[in-house]
Amino acid sequence: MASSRLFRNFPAISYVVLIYGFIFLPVVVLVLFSFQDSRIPIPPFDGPSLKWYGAILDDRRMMDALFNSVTVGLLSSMVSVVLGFLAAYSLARLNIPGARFFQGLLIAPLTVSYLIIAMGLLITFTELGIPKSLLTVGIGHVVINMPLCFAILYSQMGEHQANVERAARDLGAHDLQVMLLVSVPMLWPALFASFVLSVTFSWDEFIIAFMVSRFDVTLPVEIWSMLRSGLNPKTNAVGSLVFMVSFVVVLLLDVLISRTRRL
Amino acid sequence: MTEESVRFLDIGMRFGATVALVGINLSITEGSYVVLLGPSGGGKTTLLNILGGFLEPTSGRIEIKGEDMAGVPAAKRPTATVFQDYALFPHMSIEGNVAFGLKMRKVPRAAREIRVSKALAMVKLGPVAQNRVHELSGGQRQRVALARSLVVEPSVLLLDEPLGALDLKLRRQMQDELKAIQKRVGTTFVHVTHDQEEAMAIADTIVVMNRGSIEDVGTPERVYLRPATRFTANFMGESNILTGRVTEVSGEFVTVATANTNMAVRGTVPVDYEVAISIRPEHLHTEDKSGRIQLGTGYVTEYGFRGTHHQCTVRMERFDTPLRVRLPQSKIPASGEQLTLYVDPDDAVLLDR
Ligand SMILES: Nc1ncnc2c1ncn2[C@@H]1O[C@H](COP(=O)(O)OP(=O)(O)OP(=O)(O)O)[C@@H](O)[C@H]1O
Ligand SMILES: [Mg+2]
Repeated sequence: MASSRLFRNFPAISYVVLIYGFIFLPVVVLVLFSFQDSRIPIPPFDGPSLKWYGAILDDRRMMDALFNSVTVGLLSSMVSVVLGFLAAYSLARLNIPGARFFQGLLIAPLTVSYLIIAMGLLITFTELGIPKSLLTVGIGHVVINMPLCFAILYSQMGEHQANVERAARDLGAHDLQVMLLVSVPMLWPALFASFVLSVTFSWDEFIIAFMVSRFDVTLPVEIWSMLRSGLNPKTNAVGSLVFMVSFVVVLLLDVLISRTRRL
Repeated sequence: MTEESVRFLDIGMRFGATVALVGINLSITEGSYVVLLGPSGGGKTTLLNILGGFLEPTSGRIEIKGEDMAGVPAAKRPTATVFQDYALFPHMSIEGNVAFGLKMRKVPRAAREIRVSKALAMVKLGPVAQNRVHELSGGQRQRVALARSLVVEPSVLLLDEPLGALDLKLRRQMQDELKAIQKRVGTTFVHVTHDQEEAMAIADTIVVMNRGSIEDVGTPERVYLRPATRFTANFMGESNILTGRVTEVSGEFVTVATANTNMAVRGTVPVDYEVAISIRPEHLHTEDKSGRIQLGTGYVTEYGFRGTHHQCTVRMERFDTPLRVRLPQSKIPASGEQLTLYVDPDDAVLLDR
């Protein structure tokens, strides 16, 4: 019985295996050969060895880039969340003429490719005479992440929350108190989620970071310049690290969201 | 006791092309329990929001204890609102919810704690003071919302369908409790509902609203027994409406010619006016007694037992619409049975609107 059912489902099962293989094989290969012992990350696998991870930790430029990425990610995400929150709050709560238009305008960048945004930023910074630096990379990441934060937060500010804010006002709270004592705590999960998402997007963003940075670069840009000198297991190791960080952050977010769902 | 708490002066409200309220004039006595009753879209919530300071009326004026409320925001008004969805603060404990208004008023900690625990005791929530909102039942949340609003000692408490989300049994229980709490604290309550039973059970004064204006204002007895308009007669329980024309005026009474009888009813309407007479189903009788008028005979088309009475539909000769009649428990009707109906003229209400 069981084997005949397996047989009947064979096309479906092989389809699933193919899809998942297609998605995950590159990652598996990347991670596997980061543990390669010899200098070339191609079969046969002759590891496991941690020496390439050690090599990364000894690589000054790589560590600087890692530090830059973390700094840019955290700061630009914080700015994105704060700006996104303020924009969502004012558009959802105040009677602003043309609110729908501004809402559309804020979300529109989500549909523009990073390449176009990067080119636009490059031209703008050059015109304004702003030197390329980590600051300009951070600004670029705010440009791509703020619309996302806005969209997430705006969707959470529905009628019920508006009523709760009204109740706070009715009980004597002034605008700032309503925002800090009611709106922000109620939106806490959404604020945290949009922050974490922004961090992950900033963490592996390449094109903007590449085009608007010069001497100080972020990790993806450093990896790219390393790749230009050919494949070696060190690139696999650093790639695996980048992947692992993203993976852990997304896992964290998932745990948080399922926790707040249960409340 | 007869001091005036709230006064609406010619309030009008429009939302773009929609007219939500027109010419609302109403005085509310200090310490009374007022119920705004009416069908959906009648303008009850709009009126309450105008009183609470969440909406500015497009015309007219509101006074609370003689003070003009124009331009006074909700936070500064001596009102507090119990919202229909309760609008509790989900990130605070029950105690935190109730303490919120006092914190905003900078009441010192010691005094605050005493007032909060008193308020929680009043709504019987002392034992769950530390719980979170999501741990409470619907009825308990309702009480938290009530305590949270009452603890700031407003001079008017506004309640928008506070019992709407509760099941019938809990609703009846909570309405008695609301009434008892109101009598205890003596605050003026303005309560919105579209449940007429609820309105009759708790109100000192019922305000019947329809299509943005006030149809009737009075005690539950007055509004039920002597409705001022046809709308009120139909909305507050069941009514039989007989139409006719005034043929004679004599003193306090007018004679109305309906389809098949001439009836003398209390009222002052000039001769030849088209009027209506409202008779409650429980005021139609099958036995003659002194002073009763005969309405004619008809036969039973439908009937059903309702516990306290038998509800029948009686088709009368020469009447357009059948009459609704309540017969006593002991009198079991039969389909097609011939009935002669009588009414006490004092129970018939003349309606000229
Ligand atoms: N913000 C608004 N914008 C436009 N029209 C509105 C607004 N609020 C209310 N109205 C309109 O005003 C009228 C009265 O509405 P209101 O909510 O006061 O009725 P209600 O008596 O409370 O009804 P319900 O029993 O359904 O709550 C309705 O026709 C409604 O469509
Ligand atoms: Mg309403």
